[in-house]
Amino acid sequence: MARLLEIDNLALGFEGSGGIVPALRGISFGLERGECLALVGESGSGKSVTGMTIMGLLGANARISSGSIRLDGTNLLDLSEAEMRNIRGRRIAMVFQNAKASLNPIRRVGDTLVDIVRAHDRSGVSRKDALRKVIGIMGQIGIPMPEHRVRNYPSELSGGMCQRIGIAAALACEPEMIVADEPTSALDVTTQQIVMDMLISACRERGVAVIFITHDLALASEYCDRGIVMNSGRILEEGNAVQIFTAPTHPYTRALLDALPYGKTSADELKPMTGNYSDQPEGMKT
Amino acid sequence: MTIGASEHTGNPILRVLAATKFYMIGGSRMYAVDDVSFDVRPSEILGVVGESGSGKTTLSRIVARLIDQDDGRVIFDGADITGTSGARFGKSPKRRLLQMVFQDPLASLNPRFRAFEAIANPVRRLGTPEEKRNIRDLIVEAASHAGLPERLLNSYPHQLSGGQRARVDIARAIVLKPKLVLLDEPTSALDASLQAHVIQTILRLRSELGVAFIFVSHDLNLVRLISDRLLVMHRGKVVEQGGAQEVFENPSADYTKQLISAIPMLGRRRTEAKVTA
Repeated sequence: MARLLEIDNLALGFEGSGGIVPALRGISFGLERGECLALVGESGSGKSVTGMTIMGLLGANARISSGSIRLDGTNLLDLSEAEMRNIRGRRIAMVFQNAKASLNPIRRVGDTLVDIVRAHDRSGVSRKDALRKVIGIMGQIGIPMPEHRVRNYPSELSGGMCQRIGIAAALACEPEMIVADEPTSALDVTTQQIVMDMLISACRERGVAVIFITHDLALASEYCDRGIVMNSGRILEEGNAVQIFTAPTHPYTRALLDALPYGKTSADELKPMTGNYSDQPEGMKT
Repeated sequence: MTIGASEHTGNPILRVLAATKFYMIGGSRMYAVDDVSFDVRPSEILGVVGESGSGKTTLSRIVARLIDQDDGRVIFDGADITGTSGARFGKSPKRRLLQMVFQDPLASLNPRFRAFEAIANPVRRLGTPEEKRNIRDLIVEAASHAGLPERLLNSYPHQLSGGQRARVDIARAIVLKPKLVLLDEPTSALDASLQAHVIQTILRLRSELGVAFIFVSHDLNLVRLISDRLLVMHRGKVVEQGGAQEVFENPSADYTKQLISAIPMLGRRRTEAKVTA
């Protein structure tokens, strides 16, 4: 069977006053059904833009110059906004970095989740049944006392709890894949572990594929099957997650590991990165 | 190698004795900082770690006199500054010896000041007449200590990258040659490469200028590398303190153990793939 998602030679830039600034310079990769793939890089590497492009959430100034994103054979870049709305949520869901900001502050979280289920369910499910479903999913992924939680407003919940609600929202429509963009970067390390365990095991149990966007190589190696390292809108390295994040072959990935505190015993071992690791000049038009 | 706590001799530059700060919430006291005591010796780096809400930022604000504590004492450079309110500490001769670097340089730098003016500001406010005469030299020297190229001194904050802004903030904090600098999450908004840069800068400043640092961060994995000693906070209380390596390798408090086991590890697997046929 063909892969769930296939991205081929995707290139795009953002139009500004000084011309088009390239963001992705021809990237290609695929995602298997049920696979957990890490997209790793520093700020500006293009990892979030990749996620937003898959979701069809780019701003009006984005200019796609080449490539395709095929979900089960259908090129998402050819779809109208109305057709894309049928894909978003139902087939590809998203978990955002700041869950508190992505939930409506003046609605109870249960109401928000019920709306999501009803917007994506074509069988015309009632509010009551949708709420039952939402409470069920919240309970399954380990949110304590879901029947009480649904009555809370986002401001009454901690950041970690809001992120768990965000994951429940993404799973509520039974998608085939989830794009999770730095879902735990705003959380404490102890909460991060709880939320990651929950997100990844829930997706594994349901066979949902995940694109996990992160700057944390160690986190990616703990939870993902495969990893992709990005820099300046290019893919530099791709492979088994444990392998490329513990024994990388590309000089950029090695330099990134040298700059991180993992496995170091003194600060002298932290090596700031020097040099430009992309092999084409900056400002090149895509 | 980082210098062990025992190698820092002499009288503490800072003594905090039973510092306490509470807020009234619904008629009862909520302790943000609860009976916290510690010392910092000259040119020592003390790491303060804990989750959000643990009180680490409140503690650093008490030390910097940005807020007043409800109980306890703060002794800095031999003088009791407990009774000195934030407003009056600005005029104290001790003020120049205690500086602070905040988490978000874009928010803490005046957007209308060029880098030069941002670094010059503390000299104009707190410097001696002689320092004011030599202000240009002082600023160039501080920028070079912080690793900021001289040509960037004419730039506004929005023209600088995140790492360059962090260096302006550090240059500004060290221009008056303080004895103690408080760093509140100085690397949390930075990429790995810039984070390593800032860490190396801090270590260099300690050896070149003999500055002591309090490094406040939620990132225990990073803080353990740069600190001589660690203070672990949880819900306003110090749950553990000691040599950085000892605490990290041999934690005694349950909370510290939890904190350490939650740090991601390269190559360790948390969940395994379930093959779906």
